[in-house]
Amino acid sequence: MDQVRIINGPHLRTDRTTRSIMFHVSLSLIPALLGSIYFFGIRSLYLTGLSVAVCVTTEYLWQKLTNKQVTAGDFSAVVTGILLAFNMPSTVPVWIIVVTAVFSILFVKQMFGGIGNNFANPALMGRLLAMILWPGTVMQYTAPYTLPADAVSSATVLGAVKNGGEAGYSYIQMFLGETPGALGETSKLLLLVGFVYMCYMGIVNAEAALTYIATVLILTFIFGPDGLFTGDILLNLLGGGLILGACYMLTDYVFISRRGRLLYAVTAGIITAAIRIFSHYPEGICFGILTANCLAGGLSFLYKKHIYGTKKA
Amino acid sequence: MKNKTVKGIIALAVVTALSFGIIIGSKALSTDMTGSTGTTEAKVTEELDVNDVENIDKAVKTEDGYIVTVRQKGYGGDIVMNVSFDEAASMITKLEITEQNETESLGSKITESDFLNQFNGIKAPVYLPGMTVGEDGSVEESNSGTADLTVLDNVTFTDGTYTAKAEPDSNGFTEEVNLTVKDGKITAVNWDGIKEDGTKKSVISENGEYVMTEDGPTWKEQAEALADALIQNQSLTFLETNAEGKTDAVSGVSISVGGFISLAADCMAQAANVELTPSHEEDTDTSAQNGTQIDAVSGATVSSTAVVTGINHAYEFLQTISNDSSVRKSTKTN
Repeated sequence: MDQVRIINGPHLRTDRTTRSIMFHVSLSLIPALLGSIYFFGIRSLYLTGLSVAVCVTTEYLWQKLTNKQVTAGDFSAVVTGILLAFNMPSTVPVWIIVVTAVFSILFVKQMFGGIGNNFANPALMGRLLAMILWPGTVMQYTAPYTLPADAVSSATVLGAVKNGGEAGYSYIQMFLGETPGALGETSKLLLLVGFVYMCYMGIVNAEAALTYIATVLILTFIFGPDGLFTGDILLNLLGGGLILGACYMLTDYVFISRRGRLLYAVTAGIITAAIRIFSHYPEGICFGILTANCLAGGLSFLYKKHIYGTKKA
Repeated sequence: MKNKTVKGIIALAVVTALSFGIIIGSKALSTDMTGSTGTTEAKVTEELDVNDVENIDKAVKTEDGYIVTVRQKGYGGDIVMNVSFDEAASMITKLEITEQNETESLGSKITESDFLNQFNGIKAPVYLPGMTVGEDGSVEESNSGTADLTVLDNVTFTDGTYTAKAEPDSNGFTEEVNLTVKDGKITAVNWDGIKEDGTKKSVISENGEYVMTEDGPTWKEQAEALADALIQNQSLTFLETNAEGKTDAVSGVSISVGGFISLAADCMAQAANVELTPSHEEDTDTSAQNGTQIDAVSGATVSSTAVVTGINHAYEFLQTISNDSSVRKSTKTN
């Protein structure tokens, strides 16, 4: 027992632990969760709860089985679980949630070394898996119960417009959340409430999110569907999951320096916009952020790194 | 730090409550405005018995017609649709797809208004181009295009050169057959596909731009083999085709030969001066008179066919209902 343990630096400590950060992120997602219960019924709560439970359990079991330090209680798996459920429609079968949650935690997060070492956002990878394996099921969204019509499955507003249809919903409805969509993405208002809370608590930097949103909006406006400068800015902002993606998925702690973070956000924005403009997928957020995740290492070669212990350049 | 956390959480709770106030408030406001117009959904007056009826999930009689919920196997699972009919149960008034699992951006286009709007106010049954409606409401690939080729046997051909052209296909090729008759015999046959810009299928299959299989004979070689077989047989009846429009009659030929047969038959009919009679003319005529042709979603034949078949099942079901006097009676008492 007289072995010396060597711990990598930096050795500075603050009260700010992963646990406290992730706890606040989870809290900030509660307004949107309440919103999804209001819009899509109590099943959203069950689905989110299940997703969180599976994520935390998987993390715990893996860490136990591999004799690693158990960090399942640090709320990061909770955040992944909530975000994963937020990306699914309210009608999604329970087993799809279970499969994607296990996949996200086990294959995307833990097998790459756990929190901080995963190469991409686990919740988004889970969504990508579901999109590829069960596109019909996870991309069929139901209209909120609060609308007079029967809950008929339909595309999101962005999807409907992309396919040449009418939006069918006012910008106000899109902003408040009364549109078909995934559980947590519809109410932009409630997402922003949570995001402002995170900014206030100082756990997230709004710069990257704003840069990302601005990049997507500028590009989709310039290369609009009817020629140059004809894009619908409000539709692109409010019609899909852009705000959810920008506020909660993009803002992983990937880059330490400001320039790197902006470069990362712009990259994700360009890819998202390109997918919205050129592909048949209406959203592109999932692909945009995941690609930027994967390019993060490469992007860091493009600028001079900030070195610890020196003044910022 | 603690203080800030408490403040933050309280602020979060308050703002969330306010947001819900806005959401619910705006909701109440908008229902007030739309409340007066009421819903346009017709009232259900009677549920029809759908036990023992395959594919039909539910059928109801409404104030202004019928709504039948049909389940039909599509490409990626069951497609469930609500088909609305008018009071006479002969006109389709509306089609809704409520469940589908078709390929994103291909088959799933059956849920788009471009496709669905075709069904507003048309006469049932429906069919896709090149299909006939069977007795049981099933839609089948029509045979009406292939003519009865036996009339071309034992005829005398007049000398000359004859040409027949088809409609351009989806790849832009216009297929063409040239047939030369000398001394009453077919002496030369040439089959080719030509694009508007003059690109010939035979040429590009030679230089490897149009590849059938990696190491099999090229399209040109296969086309020539077919032509030779025709010259040898002086008849087309040897070319038995299977359901996919392919034949085993000529070795090494794996391409679809339907186009060749109809064009060559056309040339031979010109040469023999006889008329070709489609073998199933009657079927097509009746369905053309009684139904409505629908444009399929391009590239999604299975999905489109499933929808059309489902609608026809619903139609057939309603026909059996309205022929059944007991049901009619119970409808009247309502």
